[in-house]
Amino acid sequence: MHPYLRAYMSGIALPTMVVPLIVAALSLQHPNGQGLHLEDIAIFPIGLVPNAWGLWNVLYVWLRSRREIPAGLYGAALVLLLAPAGYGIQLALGRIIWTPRLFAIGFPMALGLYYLAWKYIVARFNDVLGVG
Amino acid sequence: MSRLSDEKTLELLRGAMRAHNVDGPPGDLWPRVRHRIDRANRPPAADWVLAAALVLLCLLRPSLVGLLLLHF
Repeated sequence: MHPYLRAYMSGIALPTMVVPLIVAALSLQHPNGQGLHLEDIAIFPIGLVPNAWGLWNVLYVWLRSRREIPAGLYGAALVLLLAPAGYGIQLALGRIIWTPRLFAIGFPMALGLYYLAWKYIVARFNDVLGVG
Repeated sequence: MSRLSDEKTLELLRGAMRAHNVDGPPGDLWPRVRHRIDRANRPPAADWVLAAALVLLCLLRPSLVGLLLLHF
């Protein structure tokens, strides 16, 4: 029943679990809160990423009912959508976090991280919720 | 032209077909099935290498951990 709702919940689970870690890390980095605009930085990981994961997983479950798709590669493809979105948000807010050097290292790392996370965690969550 | 009886036909069929091993499998097959399932579920070496590379990069550049978390 409601497989796409379950797929959405399964997709948002992991990035939502990471959110408290982000807030904790930011709080440790800026113990006085000076120079920190949490709303500017956290809009991407809190507002966009979990929803993107949930919707991406809904699409995955829908596609998977028609053909076999490797979860890892499918998840890594999400980076290709989120990277321009993240850069666009930074441009719009006037707070560029990604320097070219950081992006050159971080982008392949994000691809690898997403690949592993989708292959071993999101796919497992999908199995547990019966939509795998 | 001779007519074949049912008994004769069965006898010819039995003779033509390869005899089956009626003694059953040589041992308990379940451990072998289990082993194959476990082997299929084990992550491939490339994934271990990728995970190790990610951990190594994070150790070499700890600032990347925060960045990755931020964009997870």
